[in-house]
Amino acid sequence: MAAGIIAILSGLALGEGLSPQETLAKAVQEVSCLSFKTAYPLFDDVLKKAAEGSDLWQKAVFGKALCAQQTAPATPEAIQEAQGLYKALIEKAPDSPMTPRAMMNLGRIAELSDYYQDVVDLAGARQWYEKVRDRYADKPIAGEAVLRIAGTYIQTFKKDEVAQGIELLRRWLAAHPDDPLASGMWQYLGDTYFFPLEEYDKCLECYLKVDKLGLVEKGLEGPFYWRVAMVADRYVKDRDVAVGFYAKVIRLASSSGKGYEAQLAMKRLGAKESEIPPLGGILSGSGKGHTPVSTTRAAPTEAK
Amino acid sequence: MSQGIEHKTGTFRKWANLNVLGLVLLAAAFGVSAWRAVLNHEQITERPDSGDRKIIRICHWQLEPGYRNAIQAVIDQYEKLRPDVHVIQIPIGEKVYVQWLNTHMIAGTAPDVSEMGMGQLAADDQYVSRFYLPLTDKVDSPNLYNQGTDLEGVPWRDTFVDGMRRGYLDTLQDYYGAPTCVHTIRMFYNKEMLKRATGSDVPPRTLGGLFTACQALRDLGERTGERITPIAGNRDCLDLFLSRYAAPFTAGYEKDLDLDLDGKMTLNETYIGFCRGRLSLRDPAMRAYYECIQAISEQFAQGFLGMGREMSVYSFVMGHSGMMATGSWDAMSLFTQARFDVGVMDFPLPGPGERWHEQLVGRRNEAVMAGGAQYGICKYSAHPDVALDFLKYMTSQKGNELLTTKAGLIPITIGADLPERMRPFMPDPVGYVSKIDLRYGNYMQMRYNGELERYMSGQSMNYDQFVQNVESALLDPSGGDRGWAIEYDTKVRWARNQERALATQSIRELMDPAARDAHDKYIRQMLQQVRANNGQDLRYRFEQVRKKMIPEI
Amino acid sequence: MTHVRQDADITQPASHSPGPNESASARRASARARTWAMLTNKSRLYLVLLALMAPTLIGMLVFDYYPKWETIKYSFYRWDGSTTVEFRWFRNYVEAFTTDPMFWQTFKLVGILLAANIVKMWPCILAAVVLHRLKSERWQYVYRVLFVIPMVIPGLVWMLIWKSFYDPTAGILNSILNGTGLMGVLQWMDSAMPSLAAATTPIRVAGVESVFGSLWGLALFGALLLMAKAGLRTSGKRWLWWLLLLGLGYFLWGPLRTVVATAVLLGCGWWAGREGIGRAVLKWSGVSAIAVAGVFVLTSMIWTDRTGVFDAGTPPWLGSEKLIIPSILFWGFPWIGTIGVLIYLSGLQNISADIYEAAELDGVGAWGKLFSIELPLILTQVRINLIFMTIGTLNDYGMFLVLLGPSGGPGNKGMVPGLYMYSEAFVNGRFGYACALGMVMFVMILAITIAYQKYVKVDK
Repeated sequence: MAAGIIAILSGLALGEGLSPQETLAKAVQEVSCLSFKTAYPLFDDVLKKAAEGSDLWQKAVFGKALCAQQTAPATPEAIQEAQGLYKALIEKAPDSPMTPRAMMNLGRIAELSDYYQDVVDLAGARQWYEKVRDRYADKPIAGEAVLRIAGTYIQTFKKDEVAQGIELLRRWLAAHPDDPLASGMWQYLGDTYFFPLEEYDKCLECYLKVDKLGLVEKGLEGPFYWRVAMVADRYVKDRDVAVGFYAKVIRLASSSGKGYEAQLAMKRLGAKESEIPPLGGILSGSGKGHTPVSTTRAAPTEAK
Repeated sequence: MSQGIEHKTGTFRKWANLNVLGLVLLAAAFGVSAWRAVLNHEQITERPDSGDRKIIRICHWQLEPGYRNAIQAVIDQYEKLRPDVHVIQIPIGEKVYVQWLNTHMIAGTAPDVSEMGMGQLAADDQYVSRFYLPLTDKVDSPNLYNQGTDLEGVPWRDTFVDGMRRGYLDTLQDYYGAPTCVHTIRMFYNKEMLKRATGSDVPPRTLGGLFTACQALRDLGERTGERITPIAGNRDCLDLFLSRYAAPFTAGYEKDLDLDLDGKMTLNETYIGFCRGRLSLRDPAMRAYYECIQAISEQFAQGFLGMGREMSVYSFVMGHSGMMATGSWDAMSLFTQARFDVGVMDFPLPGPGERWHEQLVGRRNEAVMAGGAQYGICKYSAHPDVALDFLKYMTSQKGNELLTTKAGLIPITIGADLPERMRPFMPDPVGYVSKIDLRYGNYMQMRYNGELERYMSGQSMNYDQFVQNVESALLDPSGGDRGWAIEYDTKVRWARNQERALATQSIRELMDPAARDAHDKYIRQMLQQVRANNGQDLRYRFEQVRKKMIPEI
Repeated sequence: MTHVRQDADITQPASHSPGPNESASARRASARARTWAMLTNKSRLYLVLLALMAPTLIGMLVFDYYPKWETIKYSFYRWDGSTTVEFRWFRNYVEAFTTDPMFWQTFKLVGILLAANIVKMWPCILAAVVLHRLKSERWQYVYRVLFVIPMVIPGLVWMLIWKSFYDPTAGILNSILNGTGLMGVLQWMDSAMPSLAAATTPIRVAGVESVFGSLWGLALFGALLLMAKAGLRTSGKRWLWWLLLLGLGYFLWGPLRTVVATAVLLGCGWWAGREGIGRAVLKWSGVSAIAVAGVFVLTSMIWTDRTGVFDAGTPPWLGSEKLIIPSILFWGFPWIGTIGVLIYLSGLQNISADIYEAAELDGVGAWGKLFSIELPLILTQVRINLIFMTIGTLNDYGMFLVLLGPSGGPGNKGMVPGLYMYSEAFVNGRFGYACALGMVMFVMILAITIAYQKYVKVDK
């Protein structure tokens, strides 16, 4: 409580003598440092001064709601306050650029357990995500909403619900092959086919699509390529794909530590010596034989 | 008259007593300390600028011999290239580094460049995001100090052996630091002592050879009356051996235990394997592993579990032990402090025909390395561009080579050469990386460590008793199941905590026009969160494997 | 000469007393004025006193009481030290009492340490007595200074020094043992004690355990005999203690033996109430029972197997689970702490010289003075040190952490409640649970302290 009082006071002190726009900027800066407790009174201050419905008001409401939602530890009162503020924004400024995010956040509140004994309401979360998907179908946030909806099904790990989640994602990807989140969606699909469904051929199909589009997560190419190679090698028995991805582990993810094992696997699969990239020295003087690990999106390659 | 003199002498004696003397000494000591503190403070907080030169400061906690000189050498070289800049080095003791830096960060007087990775500086994202400058928008451009080398034109991030991964914070989705070296662990040996004992200073290549050499060292001690311990071991050293030999013996379990095919065996997967009967401590490979380590620990001094690292180092450099195991970070210390020629060798594995060779899978792979000695730039630096420039110089091929050569470390920049003496530390990419770990949960960690120490001390129990105790601890309700429940709970909380990071990016995206990277960061974190399924995969698997509900924490 | 206003003056106003010619109302007004002035002066006095005490009080409230309050509060929470703060009612306590096997195991070692520390208080007392009896005041001063000098060394440094003492190869302890031939004695004992244990075990089993259930049963019976010597009436006043101890006896003796023991003790109590040798017999029977139990514990339950740790002449004091407890017990030898000595000395110095003279006239010898005069009269100090010792023993973890590490050494043999609490908080991140463990320990210490206050009485 003492910390909270100090945070509020310091927040107020931070806002002393500043215009609402400056206070808002200060609040945003505090949020970027994960200081939600300090940012809350700043947003509140702006809210009091802003005309209802104005751009400033919208930002202040959204910011205050977000801070109430994210201040740790979460309490039922704070979460309720956040819900109230989000709903106020949705009601009073339906065309605000923050409204879709507010709706998504209401879904997140329902989906996650924010405090001890908070009940998870997946159906309630789904409703909000579906609203976003339907209302903003032509915006990028729709893809995120679809992903979240699928997540609410898949995380139950019940066969029929997992199937529903998969179906949803597949339909969306069929209709929106260029969705900005397509790579992530395919990867999620691939993960789900891998576990709990254990449908490895479909899993491989999805992962190959991910590789074509490019992996989104930085620095985690190693585990991804290794899994693809292993699925192809152990379950689907697609030698060419397996060899291709083992080679990628060696060339593009040497710091994963699986390079040597990838070489052994390639030899076992009958790959020619010329096909097997050398491990090279990690610190070789000339840098030859070593491709630096890239944490940008990997260039898509076709598996041979 | 004499009474007067006596009175005066008495008064003098009265005043010149020990109490007054003590007070004077105390006051003098205080005065000297205060003067030194003020002097140090002025030096440390000397603000830029000095005339035409921009002044930046760099602080670190590495007080090992050679490191400070190495940093100074880099500074001197840098100042030749940039005569408009003056760099001041501020080494601070490890014990007070965090408090010192915290205080200066809050006061706004922190050095421009500071070493990261200790205490709060490593653990608290809020702290890092508040006080350090994100480097993400800088890592894609080439390091100009690599011009003329094979790294010319290569993005700065890609010039690091680990892709600068060490400096990347997942929660904040930003780079905050640049590592400057990597570390490997090796065994060091006393060449002269080995030659006296075995007739040759060539180190043993196999485990059998190691035991032979150890016996020869013991015999030497008995012959000459010297007190010689074959290997200067201690509790930390035991951990090094355990870690080093784990993959060579247990990597073979990966094909059965690595359920998610990510190339490693997690604690959860290990426990599942145990529950499903695919792993037992009675397996030949597991028995071989523990017996091998126990046999090695018999070469340590009796009671090594009660010894600290410093005692082992002392024992080795004073010539009371033939060998010791530690990291490349200690190399310079050992080379300079030992009064004999110090050799370096890799950890020997059982050779063909030797005991436990049958159960060996392969060597331990060193390709998975995290960079060390990471430096970040203070957000409130008066010259962040100069600080960044210096950091880039320090991590350029030439700069990093200079730093690590002088400091006796392994460079992190690709292509940077290392001195002949450090070549044995070159990381070896051949071998296996995944290994078994049974310390699943708090209780298991404590019990396992306790039982392991009992077994390794060589007096209290045999292997079968060790197995019985560890397995019963695993099966205890507080053991593996509880560890699983803790992991599940942690993952659920992680998913919730990710919301905070996502909230940061969404606010920035919506309200900060300059935040061009906010959307991409949001997407990456959101995808990570979705794929984690709020930790429910762990709950589902528990119900599958244990046939009951996962306990609540 | 300036009048120095005495304290009493503060309460008295500086106004004059009413003269004989003043009217009654004037006198009443004057009295009211005096009373008012007295009150406001008193208030002023108290205000001044409070103001002077304020810094200390505030400091105590903020740095002492507030953290304690937070500990009580967070013991009901699941708290990871940062973002997770969930109110869980008594879950932490339920876990501590029901599903945490490690916590209660740690009290075994604490029990041993408490018993040992009670014995280790004696060197301090004896040192203080010797110091007190020094005839030369100059030498007393010199020795007092010598006792105080080591206090400047920080506790952590002491522990590290002792850690180096215990080093098997380079440590001073093994060097002394080898140099003085005591290592040979230990090697002999390593064979002899197990043999002795083997010889006494049948006697223990057949003679003691068959009658009393266990050695602890014998010791408990001895303690109850000592209580019974007070007679039935006095024992009746302590009915709660009798009930608790007989309850404990039920677990140690079993139901039949409990009934028999109760009957025997009642009979002893009746006998003690009568004039005669009853009390003396019960006293010595009780003491003997406890002593016999102690002897059997020492000879047949501790060193029962050959350890082999002394064979090489470099026993690993902190590296062998068999030697950890002896090492911890031996730590601090010769157990003469500065603060303890000074506390006892201050108590001894309050003893009037007349008492000593009277004792000498009565022909009381040196030991007699110790047991009849000095010990009884410093019982207040003994009680204080006993309380501090108990609190320290139950709370301490620093020494164990430095000497043995967070897991308490091989086999977790050196795990004490304080170290476990530390591990739970700072290693496992379970701060709320650690607070609950702390509260459990607090209640235990409080109960023991109350027992000391009640039973370690000053008999002047």
